[in-house]
Amino acid sequence: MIGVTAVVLAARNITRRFGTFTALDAVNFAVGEGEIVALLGENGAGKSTLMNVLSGSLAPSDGTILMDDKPVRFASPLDAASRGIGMVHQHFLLVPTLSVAENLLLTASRRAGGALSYNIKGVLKDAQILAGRLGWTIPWQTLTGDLPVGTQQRVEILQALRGQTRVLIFDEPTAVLSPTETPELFATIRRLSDEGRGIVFISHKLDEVLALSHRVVVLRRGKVVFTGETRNLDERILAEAMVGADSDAAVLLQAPPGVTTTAAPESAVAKKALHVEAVTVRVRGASKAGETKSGAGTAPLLPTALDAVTFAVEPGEIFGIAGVDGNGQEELAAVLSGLMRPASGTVQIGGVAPPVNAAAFRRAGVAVIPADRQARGLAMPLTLAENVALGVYDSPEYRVGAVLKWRKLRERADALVKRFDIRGGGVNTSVLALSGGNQQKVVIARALSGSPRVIIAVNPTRGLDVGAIAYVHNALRQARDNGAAVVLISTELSEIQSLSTRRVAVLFAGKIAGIVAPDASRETFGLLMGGKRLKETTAVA
Amino acid sequence: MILDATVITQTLAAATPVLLVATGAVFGERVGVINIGLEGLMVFGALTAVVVSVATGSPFLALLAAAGAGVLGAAVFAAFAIWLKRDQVIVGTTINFLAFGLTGVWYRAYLNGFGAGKTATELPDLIGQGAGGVDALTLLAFALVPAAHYLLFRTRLGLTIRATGEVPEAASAAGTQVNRLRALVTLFVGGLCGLGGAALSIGIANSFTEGITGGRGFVALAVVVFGRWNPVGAMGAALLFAAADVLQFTLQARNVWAGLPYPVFLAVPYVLTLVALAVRGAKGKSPAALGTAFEQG
Repeated sequence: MIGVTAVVLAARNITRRFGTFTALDAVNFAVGEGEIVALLGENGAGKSTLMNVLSGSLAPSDGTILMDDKPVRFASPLDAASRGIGMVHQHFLLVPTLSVAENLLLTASRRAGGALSYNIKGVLKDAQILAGRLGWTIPWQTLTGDLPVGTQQRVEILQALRGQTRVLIFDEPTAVLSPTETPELFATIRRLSDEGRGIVFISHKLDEVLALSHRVVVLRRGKVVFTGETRNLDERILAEAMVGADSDAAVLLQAPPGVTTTAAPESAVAKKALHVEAVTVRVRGASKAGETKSGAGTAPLLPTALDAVTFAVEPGEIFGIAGVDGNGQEELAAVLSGLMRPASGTVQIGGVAPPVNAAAFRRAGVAVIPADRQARGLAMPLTLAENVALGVYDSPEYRVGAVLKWRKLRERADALVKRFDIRGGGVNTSVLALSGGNQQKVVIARALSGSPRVIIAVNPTRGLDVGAIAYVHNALRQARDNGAAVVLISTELSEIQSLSTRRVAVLFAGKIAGIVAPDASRETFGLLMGGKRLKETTAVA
Repeated sequence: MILDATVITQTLAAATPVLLVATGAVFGERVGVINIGLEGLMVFGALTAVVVSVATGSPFLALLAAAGAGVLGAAVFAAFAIWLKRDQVIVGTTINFLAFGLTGVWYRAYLNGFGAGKTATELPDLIGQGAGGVDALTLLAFALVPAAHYLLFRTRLGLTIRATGEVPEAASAAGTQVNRLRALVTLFVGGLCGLGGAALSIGIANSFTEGITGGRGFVALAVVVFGRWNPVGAMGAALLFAAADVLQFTLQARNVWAGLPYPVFLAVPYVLTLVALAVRGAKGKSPAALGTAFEQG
């Protein structure tokens, strides 16, 4: 396609930095008239950053945006929109309490009238012509929040298609859709491309990319690592390009020799330390979003965040849970920590299901290293001693009635500071003053200090430097050697592969797509993470 | 016979301060700003109106000054709550105490100064006379209701205001300067609060006393909820409150149930407001982004 049609929108050597972090590194990208370009990449690869730059939400740190081969600068999303760049957001920017028509008028261009005008009929007429051409029936006077998600997306598309929209960007548009709505969206996208509009389709689902696009661009760690015409591609090629072999990380994360073979202590109870049986979690507010206003016809499709997830972890095992972010990891972590009650299914610790609250899970022996240490793991302004006191202060050892024995708590904190090598401050230092790595050490010190039976670690090395990563990995290995059952939920595949003892489950769309050995090929992982259920996965019981 | 023409005009007059403030607050809350300081802005406007009326002899200049005082107070609120993104409820509460304190000091200085022994020039009635009269502010308050309704529901500006209070991100994506719009609406609400205060001091009472507003700024907040964030609904609620106020006053004046202590009568409109909120308030849904700060992306 490219070369045949004129390039409408192009990025030339676009770099975008956030502080010291480079989200986009000299990226080149182009979309032509009538061309459907898929932008593929793992979470955090830079897809959204690139699209935000191209749609005027972010200014590039370096590089040029070209329209019709002429350099342009977008002052705002509105500016980009007025020049013909439309964006269909993953999280719709619609006002649920306004009708469809009102939403359309809200985002109509200034040409539709001034502040004191109310040209809703004119705006509606334009939208109706467009909707007619796309073969849509839309209840214009219904409150947008009462519509099914697929229809809301159509409204969002109509908003993005104002005036002479020449390039339309879809940010993970199928993420919110039900299986029946997705083909309809694809038909729409094809029709828009037939009208000569350039389409950018962001996704991490390989089958969708192959079915829809003319060309694929793969981003990894802020760089374009692969470009190819879709007709020459298959899932294997794309999976490899997407996951890639990251030699630096692989070397760094190599387990010390001999450690991986450590077997579970013989003394450990034969009983599984953690047993998760058919856990299902519905998306919050799903019943509302899934219902159609008419209520007629088939049963509403309830999106599930977790769908009958079953697994068991033995003492002395690190059980990896891999997957692209947003496929149920957050909900699984919440269920395993006792923070969320599943719609159905059970979680047993040592054969007993504790009541669903975080304190009961903690008493049952579950320690949690949460994904967001600053929001969930620590009370940032409080001191180190206060932070590690959380969770043990109710023990009679540390209190007399309601009065805490601060001297004992501080002594304990001091011992943990030494044992876990926490640097940058003493027990009376606010954790705000610590570096990210040392903050994580505080979280880990608190989690591991009570010799837990089960450890739930969620992206435990996110945002840490190399030294801190090695430290966290060793801490988890030690806990495993001491007989803990560790569930490692991480989007870093290399981390999962190097730490997991013998099994890795891959989550996709709330389901376990497969359980494979940690040394399974990256291609296998890529396919599982992209939603392909392997028939002959190297099943490990 | 309790129901005569003067009861109606008295009810309209009693509704005026609450209605002016509530009409403003409908816009304020629709754009996403909850200002607990309406009461304080009213007090500010009430005293300013009296002082300027005495000083100039012109009640219309006094109205202008009262509106200006309300805008000024609202600017303080906007600076802290919108610009600095401080908690709106706390800033509003502070504005109240600031206004009570400042007007207290100012009023004493005024009484001992050029205000000694003078009375303010009252707002003249445009229709009728005395108890049966209707003044300019009352006309303005009721004329504002259809205008406000039209602006809110039949113009793009109103649509933008409503969207901003619900999903400011969507309004921002549509090109709205969310915080600027919120600040401008807040100033407008402040102006109406100043007028609401003036309606009490040079419209009804013809003088200023500490505590003159008697919680009407807070009643206006309840009226907005009761009126479902809709100017016409708010008018109905304001009239209900005013009718109760006039009723208790009339009952006292005519020595009906004279055995009851007078605070029982004074409490009637407020109790009614509570009951009304209990009956109807729960069903309404406030703007989704009410009271939240907006970070421009």
